Amino acid sequence: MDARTQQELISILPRLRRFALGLTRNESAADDLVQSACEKAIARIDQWEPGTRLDSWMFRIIQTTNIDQIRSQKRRDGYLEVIEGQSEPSFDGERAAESSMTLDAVRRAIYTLPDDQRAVIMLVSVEGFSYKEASDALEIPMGTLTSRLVRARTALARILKEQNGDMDITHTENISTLEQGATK
Amino acid sequence: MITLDESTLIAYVDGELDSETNRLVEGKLNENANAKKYVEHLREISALSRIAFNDTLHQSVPQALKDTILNVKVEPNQAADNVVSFAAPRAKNEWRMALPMAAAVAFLFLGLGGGYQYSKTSAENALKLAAFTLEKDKIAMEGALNKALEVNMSGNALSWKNPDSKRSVAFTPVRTYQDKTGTYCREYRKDLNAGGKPKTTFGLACREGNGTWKTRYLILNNKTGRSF
Repeated sequence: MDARTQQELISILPRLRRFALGLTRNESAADDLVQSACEKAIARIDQWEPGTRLDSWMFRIIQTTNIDQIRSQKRRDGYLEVIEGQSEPSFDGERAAESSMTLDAVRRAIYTLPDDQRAVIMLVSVEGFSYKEASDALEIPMGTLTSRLVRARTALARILKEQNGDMDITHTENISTLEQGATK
Repeated sequence: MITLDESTLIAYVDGELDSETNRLVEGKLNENANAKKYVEHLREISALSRIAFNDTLHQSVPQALKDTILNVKVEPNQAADNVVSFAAPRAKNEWRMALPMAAAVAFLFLGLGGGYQYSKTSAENALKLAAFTLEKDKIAMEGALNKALEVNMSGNALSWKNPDSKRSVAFTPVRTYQDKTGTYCREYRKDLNAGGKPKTTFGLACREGNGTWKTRYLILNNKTGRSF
């Protein structure tokens, strides 16, 4: 590995941790996952083609490492696995009384999605990847990507709508306040 | 003929439709209040999803994780990279600071009198030139951003590059919104490369009446960019 790649890898760690958190739903599991992914990446750094995106390559390694871990062992955290194909992801109704969407509610709603849909949401909604970039990073066909995305978005829309009851879209101010707050 | 099914609306919200389809969808949305409401709901969830996971970006990365990478033996590349450092997280401050700094230094040299000033002229000129180039690059990059937001479809990057200062940038509009007042806002991705250091940030800019796009906020990917 050359110094520049090392530097870039360090600089994208926060984003790798964010993606891993989305996949594992648990901070310490996320760090373990990023750790294993980095070790793998270092061991096969010669497979990375300089000039291509290091972040996409790392997201792919994180995703495949996560799938391997899910397959090979029972998850340590307490979340139930939602198997793709089951129609209704269950949602904890604890916060259903809340009148507006909170960030926590959104995060929890995302956590109810099946693993592969969550990976797609993390790249497209959270990372801001285009469909093409996301399908390249996850090495899945465009059609698979869009169908997962539609299922995920539809589920989120339903979950968060149920929560809000008769929702009226007036949260624009809340969003911009939060976003400004996050960057100052 | 286009139907406002969920996948079309989702692709519309993500800015993934071609301009023709986009236009058709917008036309249909104006006649369909329910679909319009659904689009707003999807947009809100997208925006909130992004922010909901921002905390991780602002946390410090566990040292053990950094060490995994830092302990790898590296082949050094050209040392020149670090001479003109231009990391994006501080870029805003650097823009602001560079000119006053150059002015202050120049003032100091002038104040020290003729002979001394003469011997320092070349250093002073170099500083002035660097500040001038920085300012020029800044203006050019702002122009490129405006053009990208005004003209480019989401997902298509507009690149700009100054081979002399080794600064280059690519702006990619990610997604387009319209706020309650009808103002268009676009999220964009900025890939900056200054002196060999790549840096990606995200921003949201809104269009003002005169066709200029003003960035309302910036999302920095990495607050700890220089801490190692």
